[in-house]
Amino acid sequence: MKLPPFEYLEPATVPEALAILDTYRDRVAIIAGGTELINRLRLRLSSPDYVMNIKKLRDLEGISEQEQAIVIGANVTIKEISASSLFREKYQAVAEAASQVAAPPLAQMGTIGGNILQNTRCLLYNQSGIVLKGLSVCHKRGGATCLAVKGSKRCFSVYQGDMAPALMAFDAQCVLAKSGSQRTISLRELFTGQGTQPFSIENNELLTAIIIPKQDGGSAYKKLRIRGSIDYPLASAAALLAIGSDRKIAVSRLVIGAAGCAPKIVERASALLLGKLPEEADLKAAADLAYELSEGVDNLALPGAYRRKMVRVLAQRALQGARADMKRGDVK
Amino acid sequence: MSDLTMVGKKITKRDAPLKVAGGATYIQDLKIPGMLYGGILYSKYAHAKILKLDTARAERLPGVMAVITAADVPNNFRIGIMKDNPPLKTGRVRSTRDEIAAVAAVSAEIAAAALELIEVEYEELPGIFDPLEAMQEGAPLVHEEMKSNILKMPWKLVCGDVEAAKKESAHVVSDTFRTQWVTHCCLGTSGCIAVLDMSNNLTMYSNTQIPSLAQNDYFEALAAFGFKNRRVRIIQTAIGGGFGSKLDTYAYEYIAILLAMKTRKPVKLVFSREEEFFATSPRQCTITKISQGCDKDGRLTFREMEMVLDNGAYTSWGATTPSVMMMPISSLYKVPNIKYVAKCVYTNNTYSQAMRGYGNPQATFAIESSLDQLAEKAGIDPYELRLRNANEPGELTPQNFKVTSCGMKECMAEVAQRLDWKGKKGSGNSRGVGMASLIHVGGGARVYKSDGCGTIIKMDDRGKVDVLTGATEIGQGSETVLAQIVAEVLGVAIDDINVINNDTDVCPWDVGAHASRSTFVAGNSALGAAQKIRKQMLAVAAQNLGVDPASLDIKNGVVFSTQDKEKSMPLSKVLRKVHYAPGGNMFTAENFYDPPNENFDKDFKGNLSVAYAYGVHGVEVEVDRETGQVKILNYIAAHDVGKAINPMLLEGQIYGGGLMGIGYALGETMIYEKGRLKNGNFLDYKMPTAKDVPPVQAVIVETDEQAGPFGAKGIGEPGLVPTAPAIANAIYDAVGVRIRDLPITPEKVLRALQEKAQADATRSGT
Repeated sequence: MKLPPFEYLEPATVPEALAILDTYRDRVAIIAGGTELINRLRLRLSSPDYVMNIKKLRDLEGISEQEQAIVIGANVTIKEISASSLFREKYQAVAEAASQVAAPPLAQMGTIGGNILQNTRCLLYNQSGIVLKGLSVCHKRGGATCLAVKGSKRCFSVYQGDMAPALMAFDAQCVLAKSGSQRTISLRELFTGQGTQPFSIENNELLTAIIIPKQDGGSAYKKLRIRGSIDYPLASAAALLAIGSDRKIAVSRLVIGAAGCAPKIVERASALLLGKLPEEADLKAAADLAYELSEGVDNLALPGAYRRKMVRVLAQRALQGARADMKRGDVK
Repeated sequence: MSDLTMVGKKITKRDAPLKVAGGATYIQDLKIPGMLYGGILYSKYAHAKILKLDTARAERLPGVMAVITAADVPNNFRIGIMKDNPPLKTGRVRSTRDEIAAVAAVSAEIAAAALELIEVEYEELPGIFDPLEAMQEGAPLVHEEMKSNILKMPWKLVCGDVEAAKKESAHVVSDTFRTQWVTHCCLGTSGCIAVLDMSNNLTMYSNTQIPSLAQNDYFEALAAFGFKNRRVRIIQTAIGGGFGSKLDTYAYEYIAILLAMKTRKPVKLVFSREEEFFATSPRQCTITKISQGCDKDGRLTFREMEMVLDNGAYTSWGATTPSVMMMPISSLYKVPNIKYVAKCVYTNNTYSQAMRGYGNPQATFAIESSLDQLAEKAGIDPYELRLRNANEPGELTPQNFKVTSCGMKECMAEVAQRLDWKGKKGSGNSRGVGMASLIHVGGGARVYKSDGCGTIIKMDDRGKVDVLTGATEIGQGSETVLAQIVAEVLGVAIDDINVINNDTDVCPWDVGAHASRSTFVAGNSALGAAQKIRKQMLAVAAQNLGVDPASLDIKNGVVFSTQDKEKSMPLSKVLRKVHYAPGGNMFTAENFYDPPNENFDKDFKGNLSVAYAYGVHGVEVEVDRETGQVKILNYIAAHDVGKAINPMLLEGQIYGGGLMGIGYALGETMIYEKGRLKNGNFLDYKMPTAKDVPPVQAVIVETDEQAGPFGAKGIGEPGLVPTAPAIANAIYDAVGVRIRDLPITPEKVLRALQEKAQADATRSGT
């Protein structure tokens, strides 16, 4: 299918881009790698008057290691992240997530910013007009009904990004700029938890960078998919574990993905593991909490009930992976 | 044949460089001067009454040249083998792919915009989407005039006495297996350009895989449209895959013709990817009850199968796939007593079509899964059971197939050895091995009145050769194989052969690229034509060299005596000698080959093919007990191909078939909700990707089929036939659960594992 008509804008600087956003607001869609937006345009899920390309903004490029944090420009590609030894060595969950995004050609194109800000998905929403014309207008399309959960007052579309759960395990932050100012919020705050409007970003704001606070310890990301490439996660989990000088868990964060409208930090799991030596039974108990927090309805390629069960399995495996990664760090 | 120079060689596919460089002209690329772009409006509902259809606003849109509806289709014209499918529907729609109206406009964008302006008022009706429900008394009728949803096409095969054999069997197993809707996933979507001249002769640019039969269909359509006895010419563009999807003519083609009639301009109609998913005809889902038995030594005594096929809303070749299903049912392994009954049932789903294997994969999934169950019941290793019942050369099967060459046992041995069957079978640790066999037609298939193919060869006087063949190149490599055969016989370089295979005005008749027949039938046809020319050339050369023609051979463009090295002559010189002699001549030969195979008789018996292809697939899997995911660790695909004309292309067919089979087994399924396809795209339809290719060994077993060109048999379809049951059997060996319905998703495996754990716990508790 061809793209709908729009005016193409290509700002040369970030301030120029911010000025465009300020002027056109909801009428402009941002494109970087294009792997998210182009599909939505083709399906007519989005019909902006303007498309602004930010891929040429050099200020959004590069990964820099600072004293307290790692800063990733919003335009850094998924491939750059998966190929970076920095992430492979110290932020394994991020590298593992990046290496499992889509397929190699898409990872070359797609950016971290675009990956984080990808829209929520549903088999009854991500469709062309040929299919949608026969369906009632659902919450996600501005209607008042849910086709996946009949009678539901809310939208059950699923956030299927790989990068956000892994970054949230490290309590990453994101930098949102607008003309004349910028704010830094946690990645968690970027998500509203609403299927219809998944992000709290304002329509004149631009995501410019991701900040990962420096963190020792081990991490891992696990993903369920049917095929070895292309597929978005049908369930996912990211975990971070770090021990203190007493050899007990000092920092722990378990995040689940594709289990609702936003990635979710399993707070009770973190609390459960703190101050313990990570035993298998503890990891399993933490994974059970992940299961309780996860949400699965029949709106993706595999049934919701099964996907929820897999959240538990992947949560446990991510914790195991984090523990192994932590030990690997010990050896070095 | 030890000194073959072209046949048996890994020669690069002739169209590969052009395709890799993006230079091939597909239907998408082709433009005809003055051409308009067509678009089709499909139904909003799977089953509804059309209360009102208003095209006025679409007609007024600038750039729209015509809008047509059922009212523009003359003489109640209908398509399909049951003539149950009008190209444009009126009054009632029976599936979401039902065509209601169509437009022709100066651009594709305007055509799409015009479709939006067509107003249709529907009254939605309750639909029927489950074939078993559709068979029940009182079910809503899809076609009221048919009085029943069960097609009047009774498929029944009876050989021997199944009831008596059941009583005498030492072991009997019975079970039910299900397969799903899957689609061909051609990278080249369907499309055509219809061009009518002033006398209403039709030229159709098309990516059909049946040019001669399509020519006939259009001929009849033109007559129905009021233009009797017109000429029809089909010109095929490069074809991006067929797999059976382009084995019939479809509504969109007639719509293009009707739009061309109305506008008097060429009209192009090409499917978008979405249309390719939901508006082409896929492989149907089936429900199969099977019983098989054996004696105490594991010799098969009977096989009884009862099958229900979802036909969908209209009828195409999908309804005839039971004819090919009969082949494995009657003749895969030696089984003396056979009973098979199949019913095709109308529903409000999309309608079914042929797809690589033509029903064979659905039947083989049930047979080979059930065979492992029987082996377990009889306490015999599944490999050993298969070996005891394996087909052999010289056999006459219960359906009256005359088995000539047969390498089934060799294939089985290759699989067992390469898979380390004895070492790995039942070894536990969530790993397991499984195998399954196949029989398929390998020497043409007389499903139509003719199974023929013609070839014309002409040579210029420099030794360049034009081969005009009826055989269609759909990506499978027939062009390269035919060039190799002709080059071998004529002793010329492969690059001296030009194959012309895309124009019914110049190419001879052929029944189509189907039934794994091109290498065998078109190959034999080309071989015969080449031999005629060779004979003529050698006669002239012998005269000039003063030797016996029988002593001459041709290699590398030189005719030479095999007895006297001094006696030789460049081929080009021979050709010019003839050309410029008084009363000169240039060499042309033609040959029409129709294999000596048989149509089925009224009892569905007869030697369908001159030769049969065999193969065995073996697979080692590892099952993740926590997620139910199945990983293929090793895959062996051994095929009896008679002779590999081009081992590289042949391996390509085996890899491609195997991967298509893996998709069928583990992931692919068309998810319908009340007749509406929910995953009509490559993201949600889980066709395997490059990263899903497991380690595959393609093993070529050569059995030198006497009737085949240089000993070859067909290989187009077999690669995916035994894949799903081999994987299902391996899963059973790994974790003890039997998955009876495809695809084998991790969710089904996990559920089966949990059920098994519960059952085991209950058993140990009591």
